[in-house]
Amino acid sequence: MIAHALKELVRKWRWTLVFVFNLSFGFIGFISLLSFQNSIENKILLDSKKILTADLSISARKKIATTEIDKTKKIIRDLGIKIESESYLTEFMAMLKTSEKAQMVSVKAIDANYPLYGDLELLWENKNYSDIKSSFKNNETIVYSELKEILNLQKEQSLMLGKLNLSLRDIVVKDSTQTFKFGGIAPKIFIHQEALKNSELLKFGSTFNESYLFKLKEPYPRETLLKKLEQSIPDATIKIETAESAANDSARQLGFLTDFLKLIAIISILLSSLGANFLYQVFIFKKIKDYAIFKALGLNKQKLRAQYLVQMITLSLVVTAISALGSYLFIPLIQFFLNKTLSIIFEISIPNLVIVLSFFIIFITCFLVTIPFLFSLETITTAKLFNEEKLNLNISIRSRVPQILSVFLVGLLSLYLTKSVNLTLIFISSVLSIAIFSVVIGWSGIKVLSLFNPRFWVIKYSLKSIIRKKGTSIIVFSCIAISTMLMNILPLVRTSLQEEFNYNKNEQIPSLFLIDVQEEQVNAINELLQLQNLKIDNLSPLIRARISKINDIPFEKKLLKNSFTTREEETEARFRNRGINLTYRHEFSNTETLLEGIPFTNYKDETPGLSLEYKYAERIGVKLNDLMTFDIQGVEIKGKVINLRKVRWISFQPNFFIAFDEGVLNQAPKSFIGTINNLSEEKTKKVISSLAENFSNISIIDVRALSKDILNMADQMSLSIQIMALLALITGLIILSSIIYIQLNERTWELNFLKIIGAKFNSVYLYILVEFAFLTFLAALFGSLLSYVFSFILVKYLFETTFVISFKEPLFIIFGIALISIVICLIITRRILQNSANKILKEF
Amino acid sequence: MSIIEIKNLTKSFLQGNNKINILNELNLVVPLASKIGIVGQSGSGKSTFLSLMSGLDKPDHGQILVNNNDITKMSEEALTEFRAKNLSIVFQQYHLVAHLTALENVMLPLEILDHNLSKKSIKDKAIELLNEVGLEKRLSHFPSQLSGGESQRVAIARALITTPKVILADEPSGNLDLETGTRVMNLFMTIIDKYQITTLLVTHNPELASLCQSVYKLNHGKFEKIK
Ligand SMILES: Nc1ncnc2c1ncn2[C@@H]1O[C@H](COP(=O)(O)OP(=O)(O)OP(=O)(O)O)[C@@H](O)[C@H]1O
Ligand SMILES: [Mg+2]
Repeated sequence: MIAHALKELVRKWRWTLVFVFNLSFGFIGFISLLSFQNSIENKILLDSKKILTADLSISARKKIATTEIDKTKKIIRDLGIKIESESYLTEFMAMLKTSEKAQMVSVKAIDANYPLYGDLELLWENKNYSDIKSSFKNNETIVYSELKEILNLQKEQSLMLGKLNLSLRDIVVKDSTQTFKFGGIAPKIFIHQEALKNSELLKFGSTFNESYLFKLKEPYPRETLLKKLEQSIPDATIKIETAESAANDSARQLGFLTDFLKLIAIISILLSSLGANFLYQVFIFKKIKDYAIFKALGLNKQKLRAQYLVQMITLSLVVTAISALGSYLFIPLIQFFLNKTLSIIFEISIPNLVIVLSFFIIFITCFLVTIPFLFSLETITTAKLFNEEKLNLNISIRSRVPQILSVFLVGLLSLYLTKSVNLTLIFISSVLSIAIFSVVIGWSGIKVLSLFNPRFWVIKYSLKSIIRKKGTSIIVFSCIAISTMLMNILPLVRTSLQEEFNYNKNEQIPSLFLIDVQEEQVNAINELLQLQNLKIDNLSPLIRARISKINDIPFEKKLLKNSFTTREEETEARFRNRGINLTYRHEFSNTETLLEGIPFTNYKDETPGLSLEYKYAERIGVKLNDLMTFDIQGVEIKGKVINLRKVRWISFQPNFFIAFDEGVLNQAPKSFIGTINNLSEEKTKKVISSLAENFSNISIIDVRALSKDILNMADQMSLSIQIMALLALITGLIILSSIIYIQLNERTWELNFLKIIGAKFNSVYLYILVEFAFLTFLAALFGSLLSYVFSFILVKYLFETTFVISFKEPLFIIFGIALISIVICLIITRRILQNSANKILKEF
Repeated sequence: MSIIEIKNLTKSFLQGNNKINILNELNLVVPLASKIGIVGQSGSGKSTFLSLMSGLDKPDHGQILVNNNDITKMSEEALTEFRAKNLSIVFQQYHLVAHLTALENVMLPLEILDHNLSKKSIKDKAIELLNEVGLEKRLSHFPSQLSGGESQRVAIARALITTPKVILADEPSGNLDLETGTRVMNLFMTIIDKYQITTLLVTHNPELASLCQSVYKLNHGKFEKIK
């Protein structure tokens, strides 16, 4: 029995091959995409860890009681998490002096373990801080590069921090903790904890920030840990941060990309399952006669099932093997390509979990796509099976149950991967409704076609063939329409997503951030800069505030929900209760776009107008026309949200979540921030020292290294999106071609017969072309139309960015599909026509 | 006057490593408008012979001259045109197009042929032929809704609609019960007589063979004239 089952697969090798490759391709796509997504996510996580320099940080603007820290450690240990190392950090502001000058700096007093993640790149020794850590003496300091220009620093120069005498060890050129967040940032210097102890820098009453950092052994339950800690440390002044919550905006934006990749991964297996389902149908039709004979010879249900099982297990194993092999070959290839093209190298490896998951899904898929046919085969009567002409395998609703079930499985998979209910709901309901819609369209299309009565026999019989084989035509139509749609979504969504990562090479990229600029200094600074043909850009007022009420209801730290199972909840909790920087402006900057509501220029009401960044508004649960009250140094100011705007994160400019219209805030206590753009190395130094000389209160932050990093990352992401969309496209085309190929093969007898009764070759070509090109072209066209709708929904409601309509890719895909179907038609028809008519007649 | 002339026709098949000669230096002359019966044991090569005659397969060597044109030298494309103009085949297994009705199956060959006939006249002719084979009530039935005998009669009507010069029929009554078989074949004979069509008829049925002007028996790859 096993031998027979296997023999059948070997005999029908052509079919087996197409089936196996079709599924394998889908799964190679699936595995590669998830691996890629996983490595991006790991990179984001690592970047976040580098920003926090730890997995977990417990900090406060006061001394944290040791009992709280003991409690924290106990909770970590109780969860079975190993603490790999810990570090203690104190931060405060102080004056750094040389014999000539002084500058306000932010001091970081670190211990021997700092940093737990990330590093500081040093200038003179051309090493990382961790490499020189062991020789970093108690009386030494390392300082941000801005200070070098501001204070005119030399190696081993002696510096005074309060009464502490320090020797300058090195200059920090790049700090992994630096982000584009601003507001009260002064250049940093690093000193030893030991040095701090002996100094009198932190006297009673001085402000400082104390942090306990922990490095935990991966993997550990992030959400549970955070939840437990937040429950047992109710003191709101103690800030509990994980790497994820510290992640910067760019990392959060990358969430887009990983969502997108997961989506493509699911799409690639959906596509190949669709193909497999179709292929199996073909297989079973060919098998029917054999089964009839076996059944007549006494093959019972159990044996039939055993045979089926043997075949499915064999096929699954082969698909698994090829997918694994393919992925292990393919991923190094992408890796190679990425590394060649990009300056930042990042490792792609296949996570074991993904392999296990795929194998599991391959097995389920193999069974789900084939089992309905087995059911209907079992229920059909032998007499009916024998009657070749009456062959009409009715797939009953009951036997379609497994496939309906598979939709839910896809849903579960999507939920598991994306952890987003919205994404899953949109995804599943769209796929379902599109399937139903395309069947309805196909069906009505056939109704319309039957109204035509062309004179020319070729067209007449082509149409008849479509109409009379209604079932097959609708299935082919829907399959092609759905695959086209799925294939199209990727480039369409890509175009929109890529906008997020694209930047103009000539764009104004900030080199320096100027913070704490006083109103009366602005003109003087500009005059100074003028001498070097420079000016302050993006000058914006900055007002520290706290949200006190929303719609007149106090806005307090919301008690954390019991669980963060979905991302929606997670992001909401993350953004509660933060001091906030406000600005005011009457017009949008060129990096902002209005999404909802009206611009300030059209607003004339009493209540001052407010403009919110749309994602921020969503996170704090504020909608258009809501009233927000801010506490600005004890004064309450109320505003009405009149528009939501989108900010291009890649612009690196001073962007504000909340902006007031000009007016109410003009008199509030404020400082200014601004940027100086596109500076060369030389000029940067000059600008810093001349500004420092004349305006000692201003903080100058050198962000060149940071912008360069982020631009690199953006390039990398933009390219990755393209590669992945291309991969999905190729998978789709291969699967589509196999559907068309197999479908055409089914027509061999008919074409051969036309030839026997004397149809001209050209007529035969035309006959099949009319039918197929027509069907595929219409299906592709319809699928593309659907893809616009679906992509729009995805981009708008899921990725929450503006939909950029593009026609290039869909056109390319429609014509690509039509072309492929024409080429396959011509090749197969030619093969049939050139072949011995008698042979075909005997075979089919 | 002869319409078909077969010279030294040889066809062999490879069975494993053995080359088996099915037709061996076979010669035959078929006079215009004659009915030739071909009999022979199962496996003797009758169907093989007919497939060579209709150009569905190529011989190892030898000539098949139809109206002095050697069809063994023709390309697949030329053969197709030749078939359309000159001959029809009635298959043992009917070979009707499943998704076309009885009427459409019959109309198809004439529609395919280059002609100036109107659609209506093609339809009328098909209906007339279906009338003749007694299927006037089955015009819009699909093959799956027809009985074996009915299907065979549709196949016969289809073979006749182009008024071919030659009909090749491979056991047209083979799948039918004796009574139906006889009735269908009598009908077939009447019609080919009426249209004066040259016919090569393969059959196991001696009675049917006796209706032919001459009968050949295929034996060891050669024809023996038995009538
Ligand atoms: N494609 C092929 N390859 C190998 N051998 C073949 C092939 N086609 C036919 N044969 C062999 O040629 C011989 C003649 O076959 P053919 O079908 O012509 O017999 P037949 O006289 O029509 O028999 P029947 O009366 O049973 O229909 C058979 O022995 C068959 O096995
Ligand atoms: Mg035969």
